[in-house]
Amino acid sequence: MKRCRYILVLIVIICVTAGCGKDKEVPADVNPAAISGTEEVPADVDPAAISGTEEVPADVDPAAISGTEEVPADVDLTVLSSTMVYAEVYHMMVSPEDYIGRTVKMAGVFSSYHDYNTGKDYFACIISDATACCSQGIEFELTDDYIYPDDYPEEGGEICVAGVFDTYEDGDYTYCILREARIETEKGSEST
Amino acid sequence: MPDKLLMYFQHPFVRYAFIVGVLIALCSSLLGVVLVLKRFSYIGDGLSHVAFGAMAVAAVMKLTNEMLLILPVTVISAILLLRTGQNAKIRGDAAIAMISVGALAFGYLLMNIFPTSSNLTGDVCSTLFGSASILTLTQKEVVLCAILSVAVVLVFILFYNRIVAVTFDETFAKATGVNTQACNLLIAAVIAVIIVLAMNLVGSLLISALVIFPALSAMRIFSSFKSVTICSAFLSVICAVSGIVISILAGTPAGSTIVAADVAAFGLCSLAGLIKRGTGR
Amino acid sequence: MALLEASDLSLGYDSRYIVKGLDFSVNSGDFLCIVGENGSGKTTLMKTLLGLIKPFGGQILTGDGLKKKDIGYLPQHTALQKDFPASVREIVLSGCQGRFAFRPFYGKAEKQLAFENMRRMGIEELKDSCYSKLSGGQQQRILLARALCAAEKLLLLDEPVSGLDPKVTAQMYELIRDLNKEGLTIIMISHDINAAVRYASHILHMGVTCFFGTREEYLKSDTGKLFLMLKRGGEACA
Repeated sequence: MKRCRYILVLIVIICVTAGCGKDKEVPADVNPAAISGTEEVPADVDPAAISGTEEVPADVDPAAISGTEEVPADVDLTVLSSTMVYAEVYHMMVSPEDYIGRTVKMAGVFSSYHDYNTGKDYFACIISDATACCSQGIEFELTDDYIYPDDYPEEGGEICVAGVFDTYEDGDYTYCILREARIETEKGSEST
Repeated sequence: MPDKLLMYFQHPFVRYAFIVGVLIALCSSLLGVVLVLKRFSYIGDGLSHVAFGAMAVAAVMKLTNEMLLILPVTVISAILLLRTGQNAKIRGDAAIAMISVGALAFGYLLMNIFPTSSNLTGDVCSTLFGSASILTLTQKEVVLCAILSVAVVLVFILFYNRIVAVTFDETFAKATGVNTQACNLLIAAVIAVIIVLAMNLVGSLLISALVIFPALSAMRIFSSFKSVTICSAFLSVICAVSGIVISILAGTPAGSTIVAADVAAFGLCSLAGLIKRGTGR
Repeated sequence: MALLEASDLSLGYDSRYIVKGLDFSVNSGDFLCIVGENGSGKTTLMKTLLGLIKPFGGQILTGDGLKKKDIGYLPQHTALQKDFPASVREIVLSGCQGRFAFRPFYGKAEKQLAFENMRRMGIEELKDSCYSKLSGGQQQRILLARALCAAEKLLLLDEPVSGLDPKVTAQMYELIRDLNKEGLTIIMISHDINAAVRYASHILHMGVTCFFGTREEYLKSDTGKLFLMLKRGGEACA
């Protein structure tokens, strides 16, 4: 009788862990309507705060190369599930020193902000978490090959952007930014 | 799939998530058996709302270590709530309802009046539902959680026989010389600690599930206190691990996925129990 | 010095007096039976003796070094859930809990004692069964075994045979009498006056008039005679 019970418990465990076989890889599929629109947009950028580590590291994570994009990335968020993407971006914000200098590729929603005081435009890629109630974003700075607004994506459109991770200070806050960024959309309409 | 998991495991926060998830699931299932049998199942919910309120106050006061406020407040509330069980003007369930809803409303009100971050709804939502909070732990939080969990498990093992005696028949235990008041206080304090830790795993609103479901599932199959406790711990850990793995792979919120795994296990155990009874044991 | 002595005891609950000025004493080896009508305060008295309720007045003195951990108790109703998962062995062992303050685990001595008491009650084959699935009589014997594990000097029983059929009732009474013969002091509440006068050495009658004395004194007293007549007459008419 006791053995029967242990067998029953084992069966239960097997059934529950069978759910781990799901391999639904959902790339960051973001619903633009769910963005709460509170990305941290800096008021001013101090050029002197840009750190000098901008070389692209030589080692590349082979598992991260998807195959269709051109730029190999160290931290490829496009192959992770949305929960992992959110966690990874959170850690970029919390401990940016682990990521400085690494190439980051992420997919999300394009958002832009024009600061009327300084006349500068800021651009960011926004992602939501699994319940779509929280959003985070990373600012990016495209290379000079792009001219705003013609070469830039549509507001609220889905983009895939890759750049070198960096941070800068503005006032009391440290902001994260992707420099030398290039856009590689999956829809394939606006890459150079 | 194994390669993908291995790749994910390179990230430290994934490893932390698994460590903390297993420890919290273990602790909450052990105390879950006691809570369910003492008919205080809803206390998990009540205390988690109190913890939420305390967290709001701590955030507004800009405390660097929020635990300093959350833990004592939750422990005191636990003691008050569990003591009013037996003979009080306000009965246990009404007391839980009053304190829990009051704390939740107060906490949310505070966070609105004194916003601490630009994304208020997101913070509240994340705390209530734990969508990715298990994956956003820092190393310090992991160490704290590990220490507290190990302490809880040790306390449970050392006081196991006393806890069984007091849970089974408190009147008899008191009459024959067991210090039931001290035992109840200890149980209350331990539950409070577990609730605060579990908020990181599944969020405030879903903590009750983490406490109740493994115990109820185990009771469908086993019928001695020791085997129910062990089975409950086992099931809880398995469901927590499966829940985290599924949420990472499929991109679902971690908290709800773990609870869904618990519910599935309960369904399977109920079925198993029915079959066992049907075969005339 | 008596094992237990009540002096000018007043009892009640919810600020209502039930009994005032009660005096009685129990010596080691006595078999005291507490009888009386419903609502006369028998269970309240027992709970007061156990320290579960505070008396309104008077005091309870203990002698012979009697401590709480020497007392075993069989309550009238155990408010237990229907499907409480506990094996018989775990329940009987839990009676030993009052004994040691700081040791976390039961030693060999406790397990031996528990097994011995289960054997005395005739339930040793049920040791791994689930308590809630057993019959009323079996459950009562299990709880009595548990009370025995806790009782080193004194055993308090509250209506130990309520709800049991006559054969099991008789067995239970024989069991209790044997325990008393072995030297255990017994205080028993019983509705069954016949059993009380048959087995007890002392009787405490509670009600409008309280009486305390030996069995012989009770049978000769007015209170005793009236009560016996009512009860036996009631049975004859029923």
